Formats: sequence, structure tokens, C-alpha cells
Amino acid sequence: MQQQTHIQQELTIISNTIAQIPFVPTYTIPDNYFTQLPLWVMAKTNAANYAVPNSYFNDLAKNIINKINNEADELPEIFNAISKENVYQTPTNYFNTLSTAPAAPVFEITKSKKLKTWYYLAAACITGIMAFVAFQFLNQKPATNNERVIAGTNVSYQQIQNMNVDAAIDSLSTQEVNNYLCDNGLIACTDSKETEEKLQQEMEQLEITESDLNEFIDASN
Amino acid sequence: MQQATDTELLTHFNNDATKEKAFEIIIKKYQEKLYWHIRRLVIEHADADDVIQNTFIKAWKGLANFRADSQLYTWLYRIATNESLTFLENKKKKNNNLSFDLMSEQLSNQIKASSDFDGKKLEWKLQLAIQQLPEKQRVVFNMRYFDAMPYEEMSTVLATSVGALKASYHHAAKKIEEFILHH
Repeated sequence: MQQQTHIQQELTIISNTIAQIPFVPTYTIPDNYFTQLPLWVMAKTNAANYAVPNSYFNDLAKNIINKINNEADELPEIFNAISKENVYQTPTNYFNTLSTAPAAPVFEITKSKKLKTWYYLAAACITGIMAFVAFQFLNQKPATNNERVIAGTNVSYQQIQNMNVDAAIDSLSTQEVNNYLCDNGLIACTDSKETEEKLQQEMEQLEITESDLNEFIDASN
Repeated sequence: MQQATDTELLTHFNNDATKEKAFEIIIKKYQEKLYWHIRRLVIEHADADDVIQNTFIKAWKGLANFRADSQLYTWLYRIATNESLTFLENKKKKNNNLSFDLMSEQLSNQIKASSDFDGKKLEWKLQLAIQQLPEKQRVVFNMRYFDAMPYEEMSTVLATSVGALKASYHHAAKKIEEFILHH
């Protein structure tokens, strides 16, 4: 195995490193490989012709049918050694009495009928309860404004409407009004007589007449 | 017939009486060159054996239609190259579409598994370096470096221009040099 000179020279220009590598075979092959190869190839090329024996296609269908039939009948050899005697047994005279044996009783499905009755009863009860609740709900009358009670009191709106407020206030004495205002923290709880006298004394000390006071109230309004 | 030229062999091949004999001579004439071309691409002998047998079977089937406007030798090379690349492609697919790097690694491992492998020897380093090349560059480098095939013939085999082949060979040699210097 020798590398041709012009290849060597070309390689020296491109890569001196590669040019210096010894040109020796690295891979090995089996002995006599190249003697055998033409024979193997020729054997394969002959096989590649796909030649068939004479009259192959005339007998092909018949051969296939025969093979199918033989395979269907053929059983493994072990079956030849096995007896075909029945291993199962029946009661004595079973087959003699078989035709006269009483017909099997027909079972009534009573259990399911009972169950159905209970289902209907339960359904009727539930429907009744639902109807009663619905009736109650639908017939419920809402309370009118007159019947409503003012929150925090026992006085209804109807009572307030019927009330003659002016007459009721007129009927109250000054003392009762002062007491109400005093009880509800709207004025200072003092004796009204004392307050009136005290106020009168202060006005006298300041020399404020009643006409001065009215004039002040008018100016303030 | 043993000393017949390719043209004469083709004439004998087209004659039913001499067809098989002519083809057997063609096999004997080119088997070694084709085998080594295939072996350097697929690495393992068993694979190369499969590929070369397929190559010759395809040649047998197609030789009747072979037009003598190209050389028998380059035509056989073309079949062998295509068969080798198809084999490698199928191998990739069988291995869940191996990436280029993993495929190179697998081929390198096959080389290292050779009984004669010696990682210190430059000729083995060269084989490992070749496996790092892209497929086309690998084919070009092998054809030029080992088979000393003229660029014009390579152009016919690979259906690539002479200029592109020269560039490819140059790139391949530089990559191999770099690999050898760094390993």
C-alpha cells in the first residue's frame, strides 16, 4: 500500500502533519474475504432473479388447500395417548327422568310489589308536606303600616294617627312640659319657679325692661 | 475474459450466456477498492460486508441500463458511496436520530474497539480525526487521500464541481491536522 506521489505532494502543501503520517493499512479483514465475496454476491444475485420451480403456480392453490386441511385436522401427538372417555358423571337415570321433570316453579316478585307500595306511601307523604308548606307560605298576609309598632315603643302607627296632638299638648300644664323636657335632658332640671324669680331679679339688677327684652328678641329674629 | 476491459465486460454482461461470468469478473476487479472505500465510511467489517454486497446486487440489477458515457469504475463508486451513506443514515434513525456529534463518537468508539487499535500511532489518530469530519468532507478526503482519485472522477461520483471538491479536501485536511495536533 503506497500513496501516490502527487497526492503526497499536494498534501504537503496543505498540511505537512498529515503528509508525514505513514500510509499503512489500519483495518483488518477476515482471511480469504475477497476470495469468498464474489461467490456470496453471485449467490445473492441468483437469488435476486426470483426464479420459481417449473409448474410452481399450477400446483400452488392445491398445495395451499391441502396444507390448510392438514393443519386443521392435525393435533399434537400427545392427544393420541389420551382417552376420549367422559370423566364427568350424572345422577343415576338422570337422562331418563330429564324429560318428565317438573317445570321449574315460577317465582312471583312479591317483594318488589311491597317495596313499590312503600315508595308510593312515602312519596304521598312528602307531597302532602310540601303542599301544606306551600299553602302556608302563599297565604301569609303581610302586616300593614297601621299594624306595625314603632320600634322601642308599644305605640302603633294607628294610635299615632288617631291622636289629636294639639289638644293633648294644650291639656298639658307648663309644669308637665318642663318635667318632660327635664326628664329627657332637653333643659336643665331646675325648679321653674326659682328660675323665673331669679331671672326676674337679674333683669331688674341690669335694668332691663320687658320692652327692651322684646326689642332684643325681635332684632335677633 | 479475465483480462477484458470494462467495455468488453459490459458487452459480455449483456449476453445471457456470459452474463454471470462477466459480472463475477467485474466483482473481482473492483471489490477491494470498493470494499475499502465502504469500510472507511462504515468502519466495521460486518457493516462493510453488507454494504458491498448490496452495492454489487444493485449493480447487477442496474448494469443492463448502464450507459457507457461514464466509466464503470466511477459508476460503481457512486453506488457504493450512496449505499454507505444510506447505511449510516439508517443507523442514525435506528438510534433515535443520533446527532452528528454522537454519530462521530459512535464511529470513533468502533475504531477504538478494533483489536489492532493503538491510540499513540498517527495512522490510528488519522482514522479518529476523519470521523470528526462532516459526511461529505469525509467521503472527499477518503477518495482523495486513500484512493488517489482524480478530482474530475470524484466530480462524476459525487456530482460536485472540481473547485468545491478541492475546497472540501483542503478544509478536511486542515481539520484533521488540528485534531491530530490537539489529541
